[in-house]
Amino acid sequence: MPGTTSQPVSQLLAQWRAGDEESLRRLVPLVYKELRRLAHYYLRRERPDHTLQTTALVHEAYLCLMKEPPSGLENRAHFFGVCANLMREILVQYARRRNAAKRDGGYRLTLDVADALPKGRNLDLIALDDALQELAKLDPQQSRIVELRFFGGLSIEETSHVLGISTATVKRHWTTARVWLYDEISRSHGDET
Amino acid sequence: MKPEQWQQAREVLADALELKPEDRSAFLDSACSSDHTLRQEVERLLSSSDEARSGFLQTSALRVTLTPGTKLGDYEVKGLLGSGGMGEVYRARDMRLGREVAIKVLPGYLSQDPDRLRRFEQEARAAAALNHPSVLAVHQFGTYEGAPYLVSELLEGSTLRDLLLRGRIPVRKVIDHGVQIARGLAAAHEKGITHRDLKPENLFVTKDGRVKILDFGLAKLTQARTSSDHSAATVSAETEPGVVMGTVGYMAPEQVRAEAADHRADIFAFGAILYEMLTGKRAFQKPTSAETMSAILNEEPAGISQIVQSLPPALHRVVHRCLEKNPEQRFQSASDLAFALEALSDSGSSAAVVTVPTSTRRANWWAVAGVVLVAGALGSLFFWIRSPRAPITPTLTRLTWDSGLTTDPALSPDGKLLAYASDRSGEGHLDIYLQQVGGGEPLRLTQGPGDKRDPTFSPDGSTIAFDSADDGLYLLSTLGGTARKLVSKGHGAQFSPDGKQLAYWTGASGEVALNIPGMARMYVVDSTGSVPKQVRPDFPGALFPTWMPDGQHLLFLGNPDASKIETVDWWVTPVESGPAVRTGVMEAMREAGLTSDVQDLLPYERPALDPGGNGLILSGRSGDSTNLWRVPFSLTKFRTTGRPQRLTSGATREESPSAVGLVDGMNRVAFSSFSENLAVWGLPTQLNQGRVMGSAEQLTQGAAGAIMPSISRDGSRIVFVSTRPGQQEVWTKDLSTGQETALTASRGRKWDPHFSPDGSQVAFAEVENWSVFVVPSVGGAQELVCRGCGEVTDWSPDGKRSIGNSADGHAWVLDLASHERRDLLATRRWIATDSFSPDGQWFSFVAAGSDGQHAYVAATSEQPSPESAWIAVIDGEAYAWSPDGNLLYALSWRDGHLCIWARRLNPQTKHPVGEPFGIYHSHGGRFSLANPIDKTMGVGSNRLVFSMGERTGNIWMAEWKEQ
Repeated sequence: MPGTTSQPVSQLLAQWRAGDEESLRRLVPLVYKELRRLAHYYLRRERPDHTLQTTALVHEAYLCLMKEPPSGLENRAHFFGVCANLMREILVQYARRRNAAKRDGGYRLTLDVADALPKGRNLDLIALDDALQELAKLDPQQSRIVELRFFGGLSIEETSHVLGISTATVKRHWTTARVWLYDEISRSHGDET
Repeated sequence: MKPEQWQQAREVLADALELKPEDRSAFLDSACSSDHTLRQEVERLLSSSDEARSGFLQTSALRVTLTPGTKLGDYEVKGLLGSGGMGEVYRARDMRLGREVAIKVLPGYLSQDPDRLRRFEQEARAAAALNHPSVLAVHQFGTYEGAPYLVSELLEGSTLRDLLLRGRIPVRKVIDHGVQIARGLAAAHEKGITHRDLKPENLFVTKDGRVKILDFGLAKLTQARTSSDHSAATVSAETEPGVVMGTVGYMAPEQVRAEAADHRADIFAFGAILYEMLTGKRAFQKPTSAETMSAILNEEPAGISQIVQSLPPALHRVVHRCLEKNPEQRFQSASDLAFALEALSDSGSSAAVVTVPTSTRRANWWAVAGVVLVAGALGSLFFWIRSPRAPITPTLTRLTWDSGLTTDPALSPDGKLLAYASDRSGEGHLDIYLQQVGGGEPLRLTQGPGDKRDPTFSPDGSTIAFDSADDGLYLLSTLGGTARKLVSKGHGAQFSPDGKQLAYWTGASGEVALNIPGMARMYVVDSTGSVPKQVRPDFPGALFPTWMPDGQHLLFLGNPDASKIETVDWWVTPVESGPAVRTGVMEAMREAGLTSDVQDLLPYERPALDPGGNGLILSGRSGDSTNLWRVPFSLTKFRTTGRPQRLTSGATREESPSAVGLVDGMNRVAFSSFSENLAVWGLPTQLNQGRVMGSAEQLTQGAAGAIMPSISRDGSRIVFVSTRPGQQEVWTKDLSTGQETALTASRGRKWDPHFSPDGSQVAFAEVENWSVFVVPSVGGAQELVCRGCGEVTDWSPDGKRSIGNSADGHAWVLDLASHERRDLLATRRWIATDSFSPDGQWFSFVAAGSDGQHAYVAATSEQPSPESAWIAVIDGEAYAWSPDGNLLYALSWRDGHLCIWARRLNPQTKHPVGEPFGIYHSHGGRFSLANPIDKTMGVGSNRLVFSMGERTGNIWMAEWKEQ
């Protein structure tokens, strides 16, 4: 019975909050699985309400962690950072794989995310990923903010807690980062949908 | 573009975006002056800013939301207003009445229990029935695909929290807001509804100055689900859970103490909010919630008059009367409070306007979330079952006096004998002992290797059943003799009241038993031996069976649906057949802010029946202490009937109650009281052979924990992190002289120190910003070698480089002279515990995968190593190389416990050879490798070092008479 797969999330979180750093490392693969499942729903565009159930695990993990683990801020940053990063990786991987499969037809995978883009336009995940990498060269923290907010699902306040910067700074950076990314994506990919 | 250019453009852009479009051009004239490139850049960005800001990336990939057009009953979703961990708020149209409303959809998992859903609905109705201008109007409640949602009036304005972010509020406004809040509270209290989680996040100020109280009773719903400590009371269905962190600061002292709290707790919270509005500072705010709670209990907030001059003295008195520690000394009703504030608004306020300078900042209005739309209130079903019982004050007596672990007490039915498990023999395992409660020599009942645990008496007191390390369940005469195996697999046996049967369970305990089907099964067997019969095979997990006094029913911890955690509870089932009844014990514990010490979320311990028939006695954690509590419980309805009452209040962990009633009406409960300590241990080992040469030896002593050990190559010294309260510093210990020296004494918490190969230096990380330092191992100035790098996990054999992992799990190697750093691995997997082989040609590391963590070995090269080049060695958590580099040691769970294992490697290819083999096992109750905070391991000379947790304790007895 390998410990990693048999220990449920809340127990690992409890251990982690009690100061057991390693339990976070065992937690990540579990969360990873869940994120993968979420990504699957997200990309299949299944009836979104169903995922209210599937997000329970991640929500639970997030909720638990928001309650001040004694081991402090750096751990939260750690965890959320990992989640956001994993989600980004998973989604972009899916997108790239799908692109590779459809390359002959000149098809580019896009997502029809409600509100993701105005006027019903779709969000190109690969373009976003590329643009984020460019942004990271200009300001890694801004890229991180976008990752935490968009891929990690954190609110402004949560992001500010995780990064240890003020909400005002997060808002400011978040706004300008989005403007920059939008501009970058539009310029490098035109208006293709 | 260069980073500096972007930073400049970004600041101008951010400022410009705060202005009206028509004012931007003039602003750019001055901001960019003659820098045309900058201006062009900003203008281009501004041109697409409206589109970028209207929706782009606003909906997180993690949140899958309802799309516009979705219909929920009579409401059609128009768009998303906001989202957070606790649900989404949508703007919607009421098609029947033609009005705009807000809909808050809560995560489905919050309410998968039909009982709770029903009560949730009752609450919503109660709040809707209030119909008070200061309470958010709730129009409807429903569920959509399993997720509960609420429809409420649509408000425009800001939460009080948002307003407070901009500073304190003018006195006149404070009084005006205060009167409105107090009136709303009074209306709710009159109907028996208590808020219990009042805070600035739950108060909404509309654009026209009306104040609305939100989320009545929502705290209850969420708390019951997520509570692990008191702060959970504040993790309510805010759209932004981050905001509510630390709002433990608004709890009343009685809530902090998990005592009965009534409407006067709201008055305390109201006082804290008044204080904050007046001063702009929280009344109680400390770095951690534990300290905040302590401040609520013991401290007065800083005097308002020192912060706000010329405050009307009467207002000052109102605030302090709300904040009285004793509820009896506060305002006794919110309407009294409203009157007191109204009186002030007539007289004192005009003076206040003159004397208190008011903030006139207008900037950033848009930034305050523009239109914050809030839905969310639910009514509160939260009327207390008031417990008229007086506090219980038992007499406490210590029954055993051992230096090791003595635990698992069981009282004989007449209360005169005590059976328990103890390792006092010094043989390294727990055995069953029997002694008179009144004193006298203990009698040892069992012999031989392996832990024997959890004894229990038959009703006639003639037989003891106990668990054995071989997994079997044994019976033994209290007169002694040979134990008889009853069943080959079983834990926690309990005799039926007639003594003819035993109930027990097989499999695991802990949360895994309830979440993975088949991990815990419950059985009944005849005491003479028979084929065990499974009880409630329909429960994927069932454990800790306890007989009800009627002998017909069993109380057990179970989960009828392993996919849900919400259904975990104590249940009562007929032994023969019939439906199981959910007791509600879990919820009663959570409502009182109690959790189990070990599992955090749930109480996972067998309860004892209160001898007077008044309830169940359980161990629960409140704040930092784990004590015994009594949950009122009906033995006929099998339901909880009130709030938990405290029985004990020691500072150690108090668990495993065994209770009997004595003939004179005295209640007697024996329980174990223990503590845990972490120390560094050394295991004499021929490291290249993987041969253990002796028993493990404790290398550090003392109350402070010692973790993350590393040993010098010559084996003469260890370095470790000492976890004394409030600090976490690096220490070394000379193993020949025993002298310990602190190497660091700064503020940050230290992490994972490692000796350099020649032993002259120690590298470690500081957790607060994950910076890596090097310090001479004899003490001296510490040198910062890498800021924000993460943890350092090893040195190269030549001592010129170190390797480690960034905070997000990327492995790096750092040149200690040039401070240049590069990636070791080409992967996005989570990496930890890197360490160089002794010749530096290879390195090992842990990579997390979907099936757990594995150790890999890769060749050291200038290029990051791709996953295709990794050699998988063993599953586990921490790794160390033998000095010849041909053996890798690991901490692994492969036998169900965290133990030390090793695997041979081919000297040339480093591919594993043969199966992993055990080096050091720790399966017993006293010592555990799994408990320690860290799981690092080190090798040096002839010793393996690691940290291990040790549990020691004794048995105590509480006695009281019911009043």
